[in-house]
Amino acid sequence: MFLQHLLNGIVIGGIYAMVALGYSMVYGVLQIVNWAHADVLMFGTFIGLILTGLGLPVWAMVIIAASFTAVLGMSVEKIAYRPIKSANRKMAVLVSALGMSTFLQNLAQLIFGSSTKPFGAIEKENYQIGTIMFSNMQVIILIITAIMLIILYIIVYKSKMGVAMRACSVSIENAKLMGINTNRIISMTFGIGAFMAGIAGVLIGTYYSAVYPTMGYLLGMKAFAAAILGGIGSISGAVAGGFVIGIIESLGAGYISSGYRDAYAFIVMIIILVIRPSGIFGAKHIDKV
Amino acid sequence: MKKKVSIKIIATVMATVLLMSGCGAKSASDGPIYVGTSFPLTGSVAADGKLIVDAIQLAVDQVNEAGGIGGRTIELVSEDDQATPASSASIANKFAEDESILGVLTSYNSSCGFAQVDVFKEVGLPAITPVCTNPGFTGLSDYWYRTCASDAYVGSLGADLSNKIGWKKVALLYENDDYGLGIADEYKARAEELGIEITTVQTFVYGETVDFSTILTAVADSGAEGMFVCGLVTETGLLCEQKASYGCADIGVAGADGLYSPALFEYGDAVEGVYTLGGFTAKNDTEVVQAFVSAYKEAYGEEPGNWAALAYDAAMTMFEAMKKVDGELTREKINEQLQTIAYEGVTGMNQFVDGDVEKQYLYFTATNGDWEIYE
Repeated sequence: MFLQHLLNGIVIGGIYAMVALGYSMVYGVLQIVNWAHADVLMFGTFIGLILTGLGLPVWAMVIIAASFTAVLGMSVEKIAYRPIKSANRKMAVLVSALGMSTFLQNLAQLIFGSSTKPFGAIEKENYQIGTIMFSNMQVIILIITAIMLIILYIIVYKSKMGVAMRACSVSIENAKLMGINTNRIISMTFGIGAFMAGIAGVLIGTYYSAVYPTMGYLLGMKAFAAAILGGIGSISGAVAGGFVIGIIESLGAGYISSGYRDAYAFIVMIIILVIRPSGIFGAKHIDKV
Repeated sequence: MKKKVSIKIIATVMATVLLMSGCGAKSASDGPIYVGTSFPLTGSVAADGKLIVDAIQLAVDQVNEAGGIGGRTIELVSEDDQATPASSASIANKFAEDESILGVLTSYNSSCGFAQVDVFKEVGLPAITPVCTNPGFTGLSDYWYRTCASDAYVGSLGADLSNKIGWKKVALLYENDDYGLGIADEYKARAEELGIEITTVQTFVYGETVDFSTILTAVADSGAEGMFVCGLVTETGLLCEQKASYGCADIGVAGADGLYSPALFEYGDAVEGVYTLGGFTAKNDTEVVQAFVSAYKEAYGEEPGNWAALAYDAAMTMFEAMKKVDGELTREKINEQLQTIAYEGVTGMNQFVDGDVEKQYLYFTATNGDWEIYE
């Protein structure tokens, strides 16, 4: 039973990791928390649901839905953050982000209705090795998570754009002086984060067979907890945080009580914040006031 | 200059508010009879909320077409409680204060009903709920009635159902709120009497839990022959979809009357063979049921489910009590009539003892996308 819970935890942890990356990357570059991230994910999942209804093959559905999510993520940045971030008021950006999140959720309720919709893009098959049961969905999630993380690693650490992104996260002013088009880099950061979120959304929607307008809320909160846990702004931290949260949640629900399932992630986050405020991988630095 | 403008604005706003409040005052003795409804119209149970309000509207239309009550038509004041106790409480206060509202049809969730019952009791406003089944309501207020049976009754019938299927080891899963707990407690008590072993008790959160992996892993591990779910359609549908992936493919599912809705069939093959129980079936061939079924079909193009029927009965029982009132309609007089009413509706006899009814329930099993009677 332990291995079964562990496997379930790793699978969901992969999803959290992909969503957490979006929070962490945006924070790394702009030092703001993009609260609309999870709602952008929800929208992308609905697009996936619609595309599946139109009879598109799974691979095309995933790519189109994720691309749509990326465009939406970039639009959110352009509409809700760019006009006010130059004013250098963190509070204004925070409120704008929360407003965007509420707007997207309500828009989705208006367009798609508020009920939970089943999402059966992939026919489920189940396998058993020894006492461990697993499904093709779990295997797909793990493989796609791994591929996405590798691609992201290459983009961030091996490409020119990655260098520019990392430069922005060190100092956006200096990056600008070095001739980096920071607006474009910021836009790309939102786009990449939202693309990963779009894939995570379609995967989790299919995994649980549930798509609904408020699906982003809890998922986003847990992914945010994962980003904090790993050290917000750090890419490897977000990935590690995602898996840690997934596994702790699964084991906690399995061995302590399923009633507190959603609480474990936040309990862990609070403990980490007390012991090590900068997170597992977070750089220790002091904000000058 | 600036000051002048703001004073003007304030004056305009105040005048508008005064005018609007003047419009809001409704005449008390002639004109329409206002009946408040408070059901979830947004959120994850909005679909059920809409079914209920539709059924109530059908009852209103039928009564109005037949000449209304003492020549007055009925008009609904429809509010959205969002399935949250907080909104329900503020709606209850609104209805209580609005003296033109003479009766209330309310609450999908028991937790929402609990937020309202005392408000109505205080001002003496009679309320009928078609859906709040928590045993805690029994005898709680002289102004609170229900056309559905209490969970005390449903929970023990659920254990009888498990026994009938032949399960001796059952995993009990409940929604962590008043509804789920109410049924689970009664289920446990009756299961003990019947000698059914409860192998594990698991809980989930209505409207939030979508991942049943840990629950199902624990159920498979406990060696249960069946699962009894004290919950609603969405969670049970998801549970059925996911159960094969965690070693529960051969473990049957039965559930309380919350499942008894055609909405469950959205989950297709996964819910085939699920058992449940309920008070109403459109397959019942009595005249009163068939008349309701055909009127409902004509209005909304589909067969009415359990909740629709109970809501229709709640509305009709309220209107029947209003018809029986001598002289001027008041909240108090309507309530007096409800205390002694015996109205034969589409779900059986609506006659209240401590606000409760005892109705004949049937067992059902999901067969090819339809609820067949299980005997």
